[in-house]
Amino acid sequence: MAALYKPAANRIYRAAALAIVVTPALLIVAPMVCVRTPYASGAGDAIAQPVAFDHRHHVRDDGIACVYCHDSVETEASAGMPSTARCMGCHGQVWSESPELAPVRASWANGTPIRWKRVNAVPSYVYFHHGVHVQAGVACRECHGAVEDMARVYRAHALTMDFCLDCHRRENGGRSITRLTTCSTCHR
Amino acid sequence: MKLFAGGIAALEVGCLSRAGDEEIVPYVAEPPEARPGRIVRYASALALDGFATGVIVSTREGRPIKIDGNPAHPASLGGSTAWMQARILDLYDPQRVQRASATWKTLAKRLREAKGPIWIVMPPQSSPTIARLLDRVKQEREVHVVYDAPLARTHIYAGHARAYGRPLEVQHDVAGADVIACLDADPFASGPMAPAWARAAASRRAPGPSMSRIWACEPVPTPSGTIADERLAIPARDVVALAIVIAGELARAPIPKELIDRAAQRLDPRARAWAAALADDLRARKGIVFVGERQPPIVHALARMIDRPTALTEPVLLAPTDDAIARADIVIDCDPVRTRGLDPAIVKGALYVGTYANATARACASFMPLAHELETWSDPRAYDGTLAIAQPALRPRFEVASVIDVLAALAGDPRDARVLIDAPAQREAMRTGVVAGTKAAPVDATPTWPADANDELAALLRDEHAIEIAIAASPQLHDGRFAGNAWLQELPHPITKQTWGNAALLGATTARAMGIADEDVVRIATAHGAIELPALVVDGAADGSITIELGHGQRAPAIAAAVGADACLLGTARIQPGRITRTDRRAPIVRTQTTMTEEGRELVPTITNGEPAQLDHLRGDPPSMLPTRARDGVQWAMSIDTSICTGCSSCMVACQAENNIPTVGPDDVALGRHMNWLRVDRYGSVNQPVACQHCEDAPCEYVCPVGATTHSPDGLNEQVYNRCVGTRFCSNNCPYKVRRFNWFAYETTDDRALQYNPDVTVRSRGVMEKCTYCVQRIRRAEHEALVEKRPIATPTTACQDACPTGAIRFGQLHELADDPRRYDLLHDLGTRPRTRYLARVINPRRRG
Amino acid sequence: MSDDLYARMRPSPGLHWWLAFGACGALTSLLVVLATYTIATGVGVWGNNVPVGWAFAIINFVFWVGIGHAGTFISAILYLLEQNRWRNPISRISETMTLFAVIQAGMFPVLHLGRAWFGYWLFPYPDVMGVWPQVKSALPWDAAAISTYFLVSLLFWFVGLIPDLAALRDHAPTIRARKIYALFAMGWRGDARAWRHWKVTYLMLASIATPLVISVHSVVSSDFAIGLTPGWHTTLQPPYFVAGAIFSGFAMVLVLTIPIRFFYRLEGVITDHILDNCAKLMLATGLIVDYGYLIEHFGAYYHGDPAERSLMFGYHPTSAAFWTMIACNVVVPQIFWSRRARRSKLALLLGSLAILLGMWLERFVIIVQGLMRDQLPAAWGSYSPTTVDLGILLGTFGFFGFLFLLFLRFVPFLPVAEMKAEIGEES
Repeated sequence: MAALYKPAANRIYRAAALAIVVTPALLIVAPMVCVRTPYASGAGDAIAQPVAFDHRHHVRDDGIACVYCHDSVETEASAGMPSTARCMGCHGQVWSESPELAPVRASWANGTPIRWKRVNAVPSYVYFHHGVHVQAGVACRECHGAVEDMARVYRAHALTMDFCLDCHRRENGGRSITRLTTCSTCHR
Repeated sequence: MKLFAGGIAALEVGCLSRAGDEEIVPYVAEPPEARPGRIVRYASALALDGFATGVIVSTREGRPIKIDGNPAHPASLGGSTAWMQARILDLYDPQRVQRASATWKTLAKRLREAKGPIWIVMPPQSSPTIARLLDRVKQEREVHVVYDAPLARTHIYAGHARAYGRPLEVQHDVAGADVIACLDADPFASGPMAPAWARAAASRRAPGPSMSRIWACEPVPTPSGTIADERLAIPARDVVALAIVIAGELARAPIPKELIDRAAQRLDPRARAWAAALADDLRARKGIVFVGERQPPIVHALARMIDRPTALTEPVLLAPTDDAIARADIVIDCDPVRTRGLDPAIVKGALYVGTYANATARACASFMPLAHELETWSDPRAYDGTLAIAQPALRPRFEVASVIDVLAALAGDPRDARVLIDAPAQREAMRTGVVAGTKAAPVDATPTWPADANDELAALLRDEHAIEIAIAASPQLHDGRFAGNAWLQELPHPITKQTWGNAALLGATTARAMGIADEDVVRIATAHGAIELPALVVDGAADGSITIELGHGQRAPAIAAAVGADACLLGTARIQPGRITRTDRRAPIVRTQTTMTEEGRELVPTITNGEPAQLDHLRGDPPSMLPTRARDGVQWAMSIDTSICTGCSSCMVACQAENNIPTVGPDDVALGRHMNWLRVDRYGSVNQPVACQHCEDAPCEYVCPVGATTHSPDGLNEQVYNRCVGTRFCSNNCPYKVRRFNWFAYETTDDRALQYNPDVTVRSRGVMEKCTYCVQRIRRAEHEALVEKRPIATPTTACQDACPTGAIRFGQLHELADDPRRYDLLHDLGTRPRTRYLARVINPRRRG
Repeated sequence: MSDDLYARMRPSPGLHWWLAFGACGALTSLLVVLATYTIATGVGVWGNNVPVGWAFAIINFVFWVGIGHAGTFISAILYLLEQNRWRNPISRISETMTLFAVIQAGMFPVLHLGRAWFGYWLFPYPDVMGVWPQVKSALPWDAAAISTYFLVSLLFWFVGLIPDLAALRDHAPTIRARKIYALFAMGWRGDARAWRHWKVTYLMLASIATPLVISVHSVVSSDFAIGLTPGWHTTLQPPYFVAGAIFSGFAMVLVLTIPIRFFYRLEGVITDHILDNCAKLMLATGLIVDYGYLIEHFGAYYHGDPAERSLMFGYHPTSAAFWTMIACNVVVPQIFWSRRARRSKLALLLGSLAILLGMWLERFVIIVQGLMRDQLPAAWGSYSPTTVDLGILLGTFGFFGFLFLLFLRFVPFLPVAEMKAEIGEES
């Protein structure tokens, strides 16, 4: 009886057999790898904002503390995004003609808010409270990175749940469930 | 209010939130009181049938999201009714008609310029500003005002006018009364002072010698009746006979013996004994008598002869100029075409100021949207006269007008309501919600028995009919004005647990005699008309009496259409003879509880006052081979007193408002998919609110495959929506069946989403949810304590805030002192629930 | 002999095959449509509610996993017990039945999830959330048990098939068919070394599969046994479930075998003796199940939990399901005490169908009735399935039949090579 396949088919067959095993394994592993890349979280992407606000200049050059603009960070859940009025407090006098600040002046004149892009975000079912973190001595840079070195703010960390848990578990001294690691600390 | 800070979409966006996908929209200039994330509270007031109840409105980022009773207001004392809690939803109701037929300026000008007599039909009013404006309009032209309310207190005022010569209001001393008699009345769950009176009554319900005794007689059980110690099922028409017998026993009114005997004959022996015992009790101790507003005026006069109240005041409601609607130029927020059967031609040329396109609105020539009470300024008075400043909590989203706006337009006053009610001068009142020292002055009056009263009683006693049709207020929809509110439509009836509709409620004996079973469609006919609706047999209902509740069967708004039958079609008389006939059709009754007996289980133990509580077998740590959970540090627990729970269900609505609980509609409720985290079970006459028990050994926790329900170190059973995959194993394994599942995407995406509490995740399709002990409030309290570096201040839960009687208490384990009445629900299962119950105490009168 | 058998297994498809295939294909499409609809809309399209959180999906799941058990029982346990003479002719059919039944069953744990797209959270894998499945629950074990069972059954089935596929590669009429069979025969040449390896592999897989017969349904039963729900909370569940599974599985084997034997004229191969043995096993496992019913009721009476008692002895709105179950599972199998009934094809077929119905209802009784009548009477509920529920149930039968018809058409459904080897050994 004549052979049904050429001898070369063996190699293809073995490769195919291997692929049948390897492909599902890859399909399982690939998303696990992918979700850990900055691509998934957008970490490291400098986000273009409606106003070319430069933290390097304000923090490093002018020595303005974070709290000056993000003024509820020490007590409230929200760090506080400065209102246009806050910007105009200085820029009414300083750099009042700068073309870079035109959107701020427009906002002030028209009463329309500036629509910033949110860089550091957690999903809506995560209730993050800035105040308690600051009170507990967590420095801004532990989550936000060195914002004072950022021309345009980018996300320094992925801000996935294990990022939060790393620190919460460390503070906790282990994996037991305590006030810091129980679910309703963050999810309500 | 400019714009919301932080564009936090209540939208689930997967596990990861990518940089740059969302926006942050800060204020242009921030208002001083606004702190993103802070709850800002305003004192305001809501009015129903003219009477104010003070409220505290909680707002977040400029949005009102929650209403609670104002502890400083005498009609609330901090407690709420279901409708008060639900009014927040109406603010964002997408069914509100938002388009006026012309701009308010045009309409107002038209009102002002029309000459000649003017007819106004509106709900009862108590506002002095409205009175002032009406007087000003009256100076210019002839004004007719009809105050229209299907549940008006007309009979009460008429009766009191007979006894005192003028209509007076009785300020019952509920807390001071040793004996409270409710004759066809439900003072603790409906009426102008419900939360306050319920609280006062509850204050005397602790077991011991000073415990009050509550007597109730009624055709079908009411919330007040369920907490009564001595309850009598009696047709509403026989209450007059009962009152005569009581008055006769006490000899407090000159009623001839022959009449008393006739009254006694009309009653069955049980009712006679009940009346005699109540009379005894009233003789011996300080008592008050409540009579339902549907009872004939003379019964109210008789009640005043019996209890001879000392605290009387002038009524706060403005007196109408007319009782009948002969013409109408302006109709505000009422529906006489439906409720009174008014000829639509009468209102043909009128301006309708209202919320929905109801029967009257459709008959009127023009339409103006009515302002919600949280969108406008007003100054309604409470039952006891106290003036409240009702301030708006947000700017209306479309052009609206209030009663004050309409009258100001008629009077040609260009000032807005805020100035008219003189709010700027009332800064303190705006903070507290009440204007100090405005309580009505007591009036000195003694009741006298009118000469012709005995003839009237005799006439009433002659009225015998085989079947009486009793029209009652709906505990959810009142007279139908809340029919557009999905929370109230879906709120289970306190007694029947029916949602989305009404039924002909009747007693078992009557039903058996007529061959009627639950869900048989019956035809109810009176001299005025007939309706068809399903019948429902109620345990504890009187024979020969059919109760039908108002408010259902309306054509508008959309959600009210096609549910229930309109009792208004039976005429405006609230107790009348009628006929009931069975049709051969059946219609489902959508109920959330159908078995109202304990089925041989010890679920609601009852203790008789004066006898020791023997409940040791129902509490404590059951033996276990497993290590017990540590109870160190802050540990949360709840205590629910079944003795003072009236079943009014305001807690359920409060929970719904606080925790973003969706409504699912009648079809899904019928399938058993209602979403209320807290339900009030009824076994006989014991109400038992049941929410998650936060078991220390929770059966739900160990069966979840993904760990979406876990235990916190402070003793909460946590539900993590975002981790839940929806196996429903936890719900199957929960012996209390308090878990609720999102079978579909129930969350709202329309304007009602503006009411959502931003501190609570909006659940998506396919996840389980349940009571969290308002964990968002606990964590907020913790955060505040952490930031302010002080120990935690025990927060309150939403149900606790709403509960008028204080039956629900929440706190740390050690704060809830142990009580001999304490028991755990399903104790023998070993779940060690953190919610403990206090057993029902009854204080029956020992006879013979 | 072998040529004759291979030829008999490959008739040109007749009208009845096409009709059956068309019907099953249509039901399979229905299943696909309804499953998609369910996932797209929400499990609310089913009749489930609170308190009845589980209903048709889990009933179907347990039912189909149970069906699978007889297949493994026949192909693995009887193999190890050297019951090859009567085991061999039906082993391929029953093994295939297992595989396809597990496919039906495997759909439901995913389909019934509120968020099916997160079903993979039941498996332990390193995630960025820093959390793991909760291993105290029966469900991750369920997921593991079912996937293991499927994989082992698939391997066992396929390894057993290799020599027969090779025979078909050598005997198929067209080159195209030969080429296709060649792909699946994996270069089998039938030399002694290959046979030796094959036998060891087959034996090992049989040894792995054997404990799965016990463990899989025990794990499935713990979905209920660990629960507090009345009617669930008993240590009786695992043996009771395993016996019930084999009971229903044999019924399904008979329901499949009797028509196959008729249409393919295999009376000489699948003998009356084989059917007789199946019926005996069915009777034996049926009696274990009956004992389970008895003990369940005795337990409820004896420990006296009011919820359990009222469930077992009180009025129940769906008691018709219970009594039908009793008729099907307790009364009907008793006819198989009679040798005449065991030899009557009609009695076997009808009896088996009744048992399948009875065993499906048994799961209904356990799952739905218990949930309807839980601890708090105030929370008692009702349940009625929707058309989607019924459609999905029918659809699984269609899908099962669809796969099985394809199997009959393209795969040697008698293990000819094994049968030959058995005859060789005996002679």
